[in-house]
Amino acid sequence: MLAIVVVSLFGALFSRLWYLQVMRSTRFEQTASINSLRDVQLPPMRGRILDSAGRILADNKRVLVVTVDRSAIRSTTKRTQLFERLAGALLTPVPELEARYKDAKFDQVLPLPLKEDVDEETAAFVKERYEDYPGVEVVESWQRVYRFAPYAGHILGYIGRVPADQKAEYLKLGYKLSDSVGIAGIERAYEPELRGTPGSQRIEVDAQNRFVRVVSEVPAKPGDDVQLTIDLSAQQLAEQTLQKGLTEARSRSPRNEPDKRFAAEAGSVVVQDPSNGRIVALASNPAFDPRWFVNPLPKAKFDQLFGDGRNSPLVDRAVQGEYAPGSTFKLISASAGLSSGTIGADVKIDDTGTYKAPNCTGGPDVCPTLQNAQKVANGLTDMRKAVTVSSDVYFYSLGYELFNRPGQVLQNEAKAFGFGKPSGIQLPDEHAGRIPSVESKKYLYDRKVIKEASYNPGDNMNFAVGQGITAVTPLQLANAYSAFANGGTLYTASVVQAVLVAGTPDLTYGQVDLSKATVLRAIEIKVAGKIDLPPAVRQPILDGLVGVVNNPTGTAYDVFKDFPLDQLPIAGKTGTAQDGTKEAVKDDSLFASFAPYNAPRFTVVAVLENAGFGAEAAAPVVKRIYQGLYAMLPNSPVQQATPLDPASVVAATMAPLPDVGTLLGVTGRD
Amino acid sequence: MATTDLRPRRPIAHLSRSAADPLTHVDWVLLGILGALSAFGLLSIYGARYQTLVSQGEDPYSFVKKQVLALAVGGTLMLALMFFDYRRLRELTWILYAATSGALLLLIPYSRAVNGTSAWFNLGPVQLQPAEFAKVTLIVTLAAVAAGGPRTSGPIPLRRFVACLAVLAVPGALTLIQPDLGTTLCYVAITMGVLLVGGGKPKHIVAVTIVGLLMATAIVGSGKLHGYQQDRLISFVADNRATTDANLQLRNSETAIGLGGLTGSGFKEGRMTNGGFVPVAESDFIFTTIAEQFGFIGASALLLLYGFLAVRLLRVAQMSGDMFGSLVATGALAYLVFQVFENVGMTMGIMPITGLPLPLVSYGGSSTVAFLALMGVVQNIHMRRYV
Repeated sequence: MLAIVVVSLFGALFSRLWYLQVMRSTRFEQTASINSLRDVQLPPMRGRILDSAGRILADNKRVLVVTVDRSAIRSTTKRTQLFERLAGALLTPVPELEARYKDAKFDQVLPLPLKEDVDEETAAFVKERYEDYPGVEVVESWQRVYRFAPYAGHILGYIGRVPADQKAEYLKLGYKLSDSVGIAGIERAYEPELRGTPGSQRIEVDAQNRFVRVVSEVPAKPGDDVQLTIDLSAQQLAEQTLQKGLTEARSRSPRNEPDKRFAAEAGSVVVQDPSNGRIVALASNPAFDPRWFVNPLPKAKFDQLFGDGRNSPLVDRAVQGEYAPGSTFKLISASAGLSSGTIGADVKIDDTGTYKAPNCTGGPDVCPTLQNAQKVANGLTDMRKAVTVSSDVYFYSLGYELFNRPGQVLQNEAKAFGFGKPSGIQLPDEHAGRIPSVESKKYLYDRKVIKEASYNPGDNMNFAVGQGITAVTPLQLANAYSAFANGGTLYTASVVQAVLVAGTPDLTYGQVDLSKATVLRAIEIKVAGKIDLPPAVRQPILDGLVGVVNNPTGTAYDVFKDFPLDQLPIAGKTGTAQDGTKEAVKDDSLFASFAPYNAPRFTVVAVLENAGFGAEAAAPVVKRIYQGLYAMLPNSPVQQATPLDPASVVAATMAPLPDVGTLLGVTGRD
Repeated sequence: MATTDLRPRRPIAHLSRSAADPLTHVDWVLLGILGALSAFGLLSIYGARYQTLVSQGEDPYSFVKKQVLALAVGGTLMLALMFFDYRRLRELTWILYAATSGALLLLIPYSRAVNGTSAWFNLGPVQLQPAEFAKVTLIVTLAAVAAGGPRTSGPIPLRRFVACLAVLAVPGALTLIQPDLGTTLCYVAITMGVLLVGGGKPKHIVAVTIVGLLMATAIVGSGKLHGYQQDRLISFVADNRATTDANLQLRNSETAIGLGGLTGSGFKEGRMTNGGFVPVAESDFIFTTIAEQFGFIGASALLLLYGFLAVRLLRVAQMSGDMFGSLVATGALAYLVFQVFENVGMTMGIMPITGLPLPLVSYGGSSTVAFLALMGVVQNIHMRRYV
């Protein structure tokens, strides 16, 4: 009897299977009434990035995206046919569509996005002909808009698909591989705040994948806004001035070498508030346009950006560029000498233009004979004069004296001023720079960068003038000058002021009303350290720095000759960083400054690579920035960007500075 | 020292097996069917999850690897049970029964603690589903009670009949609370099978069936069922095209099977099962995956394998040396037939949707291990039919 039950049950299963698969199968194939529920993720609106005045640097807009259901293009012939028909409508070549289909970055179950940000006509065209385009749909999505591009590109960073090497972490956080995430700059550093919370929608679709109805919905929660300390008008001024300074430097030749031209391919500018360490402007050139990354990058642009690591425009040279600070470092050496009692401010050294350490035993590697730039002899030189005229001999001598003292005085002073470690600014991948020491020489020797392992008097002499293996970032240099300017407080540099609750209303188009903002989290001003700068130490150095621009013997005097220093008293220091080859055409030009020096409001630092003496290229850039900050010369108005051709591989052009003056400096001494 | 002693350690005569030696009576056909089903399962699990796992950037073999591990554990347990006289198992049956019932009882406070209903214990990387093991202990315990002592014969008297119902009641009630209606019904089917073959009196069986049906009607009518359970029943009884999740699951499953046609849409190429339209396509709805990807031919092959297995179990039940063994094989047969019929039937809309797996083919460790253990006992009965 049991056997009969078993046989009849199996018989029932077989007959039902036969009915479904063989008898009714063709009918299923044709009508396939597959009404199904789909869970659709609702992307949250990404938080905005604002400047200190509430200008919306990174915004979002609703865009239309053409997608195709994957099941409709699984067969190669159907896919090819569809792509051939769509290529014209979407103005996208078939191989590009095919490449998207093969790209594993896109979700393999959800509909494949074929083209982002199509216009209304295209959307209507595709929607009306759905029988020609089976499985194709037009959906709404958010797209990033950088309203004031290309300015502040390095600070804002950019977004892109989840990077392959961070796949696991992002998946753990509930991201999908097709999600856009911050890849660089604030977009990356504040990804958790900016992202928001995705919502979800359960919808019913029919067999043609057409929307039937919404079954349930959990709305998405927008990300929080990030308010920067950057002032866009200052940022624009810094970027324009740097660009102009570099362009003009390229037309110049080093002194006595008329057949050579400076390459001046890159540079950076830092404008900081020395009373709290906040960054007002941070420029790096060559610049990039964050809008390039909003849609998937064409290959040509990708190669341009990532092909050459060192010269890539994506490198933020203000925080990632490491330069020998040259004579701008003499501020720190002077402070070390005076604070440690190694030298008195009024002690005079006879600067004959050449220095050989006395009582130093060893070869030229250990005890080198070193010269001033251009072998100038400055005569009897005290601390003030040494800073003003930038006497290398004075500082070689100080460097040698400091070498002979116990306790690594110069190294410790450099650390106190914030060198040798990242400053802690919110921007990702900040570099640490390098303080010459027994350890750092051994580190380089172990990696076969240098041939000599021991730390010699010559190393300390070079360190005292910011050469040799000394490496600093422009931001570190600005931090150090800010600390000196405010009397000895080293602040942690900050580019973010606050995180604001989403939804601050607009004041005008492109600017929110900050008075109606709710602060979610204010970024505190942090003190990274204190440097003891009693008047006996600070005053002689300050006198020397003021002399650089005020005193006819000062290295930047000629640059600031026509500048109203009585209205805006500046203290500064030129620097010329030599490259290992000692070729003049490879000199990096630096200028570090703060003003007004009796009550400092701004620290301005400029570094122009391969551009000559400090007074030649960097000082004029800094001067022009002060003229703009204090409206001594007209500034170009802050304007929203015109749309960018998404296929363009050229950087969007910046508006030129409105005045016609040149940024040509003087090829003086340093 | 290096010489080898060539003399046999024992007399040759000792090595010759008697005709009753269990080792000469292994059912190789049964073993072969189990191997074929396991292989079918691994292939289908891979095909069901390949596309979603790849799209999430995960190892496409991750489910297959876990299932292989379950098969290895279950296979080892099966071999161990083959060499352990099943009649001695009868002495242990109450201990095993108490252990699985205890585990089901513990699950109630445990699932409250982990916030929500749960049918399994989370033990680090492994999930243990006690209801699957309870099926096996229920079969063995029922067989022991229904078979009675060595001298009993004839129909089951009322006292033992009630005892059998009591054996069913404990795991049945505990599973119903979970709530797992499908597994409870499976217990009922096993009990009915054992009672029918074991000699239950027709009047007892008819009476208990009527009472059971009345209780079931009362439960459904009382509205105490969970929303989804009601959904499933309603969508089964009345195909009203309401877009409840259960109804859609069923329609999508039927459509997927229909799309398979005679020869199937191809391995890993199921429009519905790989497109995310069919839920749990690697476990509860694996038959849908097989029917869509391998078509009528593949699905029939699978059903034929189950048919052969049923015939084999029936054969063991008939050939067993004692009533206990016969009833264990009967219980196993009832378990297999009910579960296959319910699982396959639900994917084709002739049975309501429940969470019962397809034995050895569905992805799932507890079910695989428990089923292989049961097959070890059955094999044991087959091997020892002459001793």
